[in-house]
Amino acid sequence: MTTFKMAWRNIWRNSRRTLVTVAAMSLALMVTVNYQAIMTGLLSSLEGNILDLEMGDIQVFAPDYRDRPSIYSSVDEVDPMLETLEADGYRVTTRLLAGGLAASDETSAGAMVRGLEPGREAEATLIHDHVVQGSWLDPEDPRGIVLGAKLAKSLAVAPGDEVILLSQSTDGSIANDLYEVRGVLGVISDGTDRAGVFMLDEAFRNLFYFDGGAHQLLIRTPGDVDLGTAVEYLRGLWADLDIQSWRDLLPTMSQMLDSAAAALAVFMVIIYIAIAITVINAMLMAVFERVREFGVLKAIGVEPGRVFRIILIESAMQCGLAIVIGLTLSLPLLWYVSTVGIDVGRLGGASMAGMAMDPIWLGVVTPATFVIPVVLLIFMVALAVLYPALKAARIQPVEAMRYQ
Amino acid sequence: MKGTSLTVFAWRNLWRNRRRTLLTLASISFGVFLAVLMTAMQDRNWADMIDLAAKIGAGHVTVQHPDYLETPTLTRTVTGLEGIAASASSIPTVVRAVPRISGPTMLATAQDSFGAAFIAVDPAQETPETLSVLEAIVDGEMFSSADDKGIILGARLASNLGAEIGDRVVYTMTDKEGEMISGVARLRALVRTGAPTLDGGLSLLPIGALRGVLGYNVDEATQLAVFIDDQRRSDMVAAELQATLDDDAAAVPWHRQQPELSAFIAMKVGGSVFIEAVLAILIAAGIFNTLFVSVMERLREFGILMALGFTPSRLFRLVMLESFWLGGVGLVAAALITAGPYYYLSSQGLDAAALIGEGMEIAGVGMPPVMKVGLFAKSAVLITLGAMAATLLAGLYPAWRAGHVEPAESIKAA
Amino acid sequence: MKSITVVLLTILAAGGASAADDPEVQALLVRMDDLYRGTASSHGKMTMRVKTNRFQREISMEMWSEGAEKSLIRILGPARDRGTATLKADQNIWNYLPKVDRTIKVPVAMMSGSWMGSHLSNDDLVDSSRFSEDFQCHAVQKSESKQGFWLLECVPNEDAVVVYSKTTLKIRANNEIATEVTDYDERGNPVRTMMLSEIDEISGRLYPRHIRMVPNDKPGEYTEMIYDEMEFDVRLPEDTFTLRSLKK
Repeated sequence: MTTFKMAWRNIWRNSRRTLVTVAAMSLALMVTVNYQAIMTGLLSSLEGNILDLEMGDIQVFAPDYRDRPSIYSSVDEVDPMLETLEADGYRVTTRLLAGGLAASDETSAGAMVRGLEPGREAEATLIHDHVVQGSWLDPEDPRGIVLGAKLAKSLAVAPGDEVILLSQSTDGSIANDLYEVRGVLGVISDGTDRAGVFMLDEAFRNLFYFDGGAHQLLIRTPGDVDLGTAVEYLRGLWADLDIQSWRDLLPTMSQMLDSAAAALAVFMVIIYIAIAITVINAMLMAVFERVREFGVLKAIGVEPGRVFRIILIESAMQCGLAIVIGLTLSLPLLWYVSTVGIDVGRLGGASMAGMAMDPIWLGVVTPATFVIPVVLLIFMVALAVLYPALKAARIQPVEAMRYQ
Repeated sequence: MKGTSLTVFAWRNLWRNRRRTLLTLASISFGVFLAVLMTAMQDRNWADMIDLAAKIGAGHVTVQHPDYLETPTLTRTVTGLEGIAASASSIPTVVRAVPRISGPTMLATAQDSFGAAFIAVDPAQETPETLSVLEAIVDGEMFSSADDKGIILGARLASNLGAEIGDRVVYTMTDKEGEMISGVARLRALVRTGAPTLDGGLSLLPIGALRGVLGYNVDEATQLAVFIDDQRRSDMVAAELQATLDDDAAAVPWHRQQPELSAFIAMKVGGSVFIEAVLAILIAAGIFNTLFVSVMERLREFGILMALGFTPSRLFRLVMLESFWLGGVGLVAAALITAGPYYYLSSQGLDAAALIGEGMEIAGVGMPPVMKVGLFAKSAVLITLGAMAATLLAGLYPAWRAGHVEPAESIKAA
Repeated sequence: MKSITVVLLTILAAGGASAADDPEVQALLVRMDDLYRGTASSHGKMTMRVKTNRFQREISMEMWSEGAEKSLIRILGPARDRGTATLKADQNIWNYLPKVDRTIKVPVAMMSGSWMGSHLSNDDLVDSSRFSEDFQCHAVQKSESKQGFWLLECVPNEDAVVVYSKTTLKIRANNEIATEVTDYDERGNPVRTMMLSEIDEISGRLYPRHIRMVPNDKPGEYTEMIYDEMEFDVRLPEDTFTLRSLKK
């Protein structure tokens, strides 16, 4: 008890030094907490963009669809599958897929037509959030379609304009109809930007005389289920279907994200090393400068163990103070980076391996945002204190007096 | 005391507490070390990527029809290419200018048909330095001449078409008048780059043969690809070249030609500036800490100096000089510890393929397989100035504090 | 494959100027050419039956042609497709779609797509009618009697815009009409076969009333074309092959 009291009194005896040390630690904590939030956000947005807009976590196709995409290769008996999936906590949307030609008055371009039910789609993807002009599909508007950015540009159309879709129906007749552009998407992926045409499930069925199930099921796994486990589980349920995780479907992308994560980890290490230097520097200075003072303590009969404990407790107190101050101060900044974000791109619309990238880094706050920096801070302080503390505990009073 | 000896005085002061100074120097030099390597990696990486994009695309600067950028069709051509190429070559930094025809085409064999992009080239003028895919030619030979009746396909595209070397491939495109036109060629070679968009969607044609099919003049093409030895001068070369051109041709720098790549690079550069800013704050914090503690400890000393006739501004300068020495020595130490790793990374490089996998592409540009570093002079100056500025800024408050010591108070205080 | 217009309008022959080293083959080609030389125009009606593993459909259509370069085909039934029309002029194809009342030029990228759900592609409609200039033919089998068949093997010239490595023609000796035409890929495998039968004669011209196309890689599938009416050397209004008449 007296050790605690002594330590507490000690740290305020030289309040300036304590303040400088605590300030350095607080600053370090502030930087790491925000950095951690931004990196977490960056990583999850890298993956998130692809999964939320384009891929889902897992996709299900008829066995031959991916080798030879054909409107006839559909997954039938979809409804019981949806029930099973939803009962297990999976979110799922169905998509109907076909190729065709989109034509405006001006010109025409190849189209990848995707039929979906907006209500169900919103459960599994965020594509409805990425409409930059006009609005997303509406079940009340069967003639409305939403186009990819580059497709709208090459057709020279905007919301309100008419577009004709032309293809072959399942019965061999010409599928053709007139639609109105409801919305235009932002940058999603190269394929979607260039050729994506989204329409209502019902409109798709009417255009193509299609009465099968669905060509693609886009599944989001529950948060607590590991991707590989989920794929195994679903393959067990429906062995005769082609069930793939997004990592299997986009191996390059998946690899690239892993390497981006590795690069971020390297950056993270660099920043933490810089933080560690700052903190250790401050701590070493603070303790070394008091070696003489500890010599005095020893001279008056305090045993080495107690000196050692006093130093550790003092540091722990400073560290605790820094944690309170640092975390408190980091909150406003954290609010900023997680709501407004840091704009690191000037043009927008960057892409990586054909996938959209958000030029705004938005922080994401998770428990790890606080836990990792705090744990690391404690570790660094301990590292910085141990050596001088040991040295101070062992020092001979006479030697300490000479110590500078 | 004279001004010069003030500098010496500051230097000595620094070494009175050797351990503290060494710790601070370590923090400065390590921070600079990290900043240099990180920036060097970015600089070289983007420079490589831009050069690569130029080699895959249409040069660092492309001369083309003014409307080609907006709507690339084969009706939008540039004529009088030889003259333009000659005026391009007269610009000092320009290495080469080669004519190209590029656009979309439909390829068909007896088995199947697929859409693809084509680049028609003159084999006599192109090297892997101007068209990087030439490096990736496998299973066959480059066209023998510009009038060769051959075609080269991405390996995956060829296998999708069921085409083997020597097979007939029919290509169909829209000609100068907007009419559909077809030609036939024999598959001469395959291109295997590892980048999916190239292997699955690129075809090369001999420019002479294609001019015949499309009804182009011998001096006509959709693009003149201009290569320069330093991509940072793209804008300058484009402007210089534009001045020699009529209204029917535009000189476009790579970043307008490939805005996605440009945006990606801007984003990554923005990101690394952010990280470097964090580094700078941390370095500055470390220096501030050192100087502040040392000033506070020496308040009494400053009081005595003042009593001895030191003016406040002199004390201020003394501490600023101390922080200048810290920064300067820190930079020298940084240079010493950075030199080795920098030399290794700039000559040997990191094997990026092991790090990021084969076939990686960003914004449609395959990444260089070996990642080397190289610092632009501009970046080196920026980092040096940045580190110096951080050091001096960190010294400001302690120096001001030192200059505002009341002689009596300070002597009492300690 | 010969231009489908040519096929549809029965001018199927190995063409006049086809080069052949063999004088007998040359003579055969010349006679076949003579038979059809001077076909200025035609008008007819036919039924197309498409059988695929997915659907079966029957379309009736009316068509007009002038030379090998121009043709117009209009769908008469079924009701849902009625009025849909295809105009071919030189190398271009336009489709008129009555449902949306628009005319769309078939872009390069869709040329290899199916025409009206059949086993013919849009490319087949415009496919080079330069068969005569583009092939070198030789007889694999000659017929001594009128009852037998000639078997010609025609290899495209180096610069001929043809994807096939060769085309074989089976020609009936008595009327010098091809009855079977097969296209081969680079590996020498047959890709598709066209069978022509029910030879009829109108205005002194022989033509098959029944054409059947079988894709070799899709067993059980075929496209059949049966001529219901046919007339040659008809007088056509000048604006027959214009975008305006496409809409009518």
